[in-house]
Amino acid sequence: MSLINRREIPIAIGVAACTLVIASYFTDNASLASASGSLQLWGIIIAGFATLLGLFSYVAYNGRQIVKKRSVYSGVAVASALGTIAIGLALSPSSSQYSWLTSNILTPLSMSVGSFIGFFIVSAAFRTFRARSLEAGIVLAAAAMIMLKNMPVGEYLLPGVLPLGNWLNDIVSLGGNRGFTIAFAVGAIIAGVRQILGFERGRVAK
Amino acid sequence: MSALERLAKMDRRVMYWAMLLLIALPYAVPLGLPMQISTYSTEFKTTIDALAPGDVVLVSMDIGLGSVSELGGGIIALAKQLSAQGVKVVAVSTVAEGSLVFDQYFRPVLTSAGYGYGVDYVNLGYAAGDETMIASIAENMREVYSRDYAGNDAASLPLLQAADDYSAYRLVVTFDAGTATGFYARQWQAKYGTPVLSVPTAVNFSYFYPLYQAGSVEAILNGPRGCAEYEQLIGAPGLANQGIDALSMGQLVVIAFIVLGNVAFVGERLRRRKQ
Repeated sequence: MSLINRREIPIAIGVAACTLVIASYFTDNASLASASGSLQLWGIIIAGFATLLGLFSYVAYNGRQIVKKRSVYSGVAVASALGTIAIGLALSPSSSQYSWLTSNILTPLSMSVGSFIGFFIVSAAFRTFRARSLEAGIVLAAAAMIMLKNMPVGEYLLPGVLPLGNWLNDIVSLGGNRGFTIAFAVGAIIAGVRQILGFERGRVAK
Repeated sequence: MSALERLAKMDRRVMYWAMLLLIALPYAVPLGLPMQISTYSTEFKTTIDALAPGDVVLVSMDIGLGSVSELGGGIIALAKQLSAQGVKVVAVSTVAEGSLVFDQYFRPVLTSAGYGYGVDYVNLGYAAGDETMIASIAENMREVYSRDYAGNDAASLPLLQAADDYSAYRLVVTFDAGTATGFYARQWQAKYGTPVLSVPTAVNFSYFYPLYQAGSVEAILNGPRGCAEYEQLIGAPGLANQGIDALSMGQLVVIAFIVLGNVAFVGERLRRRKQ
């Protein structure tokens, strides 16, 4: 395949798609909106296939673990995934059997795993949140204020923690977060401009 | 080994037991601590109050089942307020488990209020694509969702026939453990002016706060505490209020062990300096 076919055509397709979607966002042109809508639908379909690809990768990896290491855990993982998919496909995700599966197995397991985080946080916080410098001490104090502000008992343990916590949230944290948001937006604009001008070539063959 | 060294090398099982016992305590002996209601929660409730019977709201379940322990109370409370006002609901999700969360926590409240499926509420389920998907459903919902979560033809659902794009929706509410609030702020609020309400997990509250301050997000609840406040505001204390005392105790344990860790650290450093 010639260099033009391998590089220039994919770049041209990327430039056209990006220009179309951005132009549609900022104008009221019906034809542009329709074309942009179709492109976005293609994106959703491709993302759906990415999920399917993830499933294949998951089954393939655990399948290798079963064959090579006779891993019981991988066996349970594959059986659970395929069993859930089979029930969903055969009976519909809104069936009572599928609901039973999610209410009695998936929900308690998900909540338990989520709850474990609290135990790990207390152990990690004890060992790592040390005031080794002035800056670390300030971060620690601010974090403690926000935690106290967020719990009802905090107002009784440390009167005045609510306005102090709100000040940290509304002024200090907000300023930092606005900086991140603006930096992110500027980065996105630059990425868009590079895409429109055809400078983004990471995805094409060398 | 000195007392400070013993403290610094404390067995993690001591911390786990302390955490477990103090979280369990409020469930055994309810503390019922009074709680100051924040302006965020009041604004959230007032925004929903302004909806009229028959208005349509897009509820986006952008959380997995693991986040229900944080936001479950808020989900039920929103369902109670919307159903009490006769507001119609269309649910979507950017997270695969989001449709299950809707079915388990939101739907029972609607059905007990006499809501009819397809007419008063619809659960469309999960669609891949994140921000692209959210931009697309604003323009044409049935192009993205040709079928609902139960497999029904979307075109056959009367509610979806009437509410096929952004123009039919009075507002969007997202229960968010990720970044969906930003997606809706950009693709629904900035582009079409549809108000967006966000119920993020506690850790994401600061992340979305600039959007709230800038007006891109109309109202926001501050994680589980915000959900507990919202329950009190609608006069239906439930899941969030049951958990808020346990959450307080859990956070107290974390703060106590951070203090203990620093006492050991500073004490040990002073001792070494003296030597």
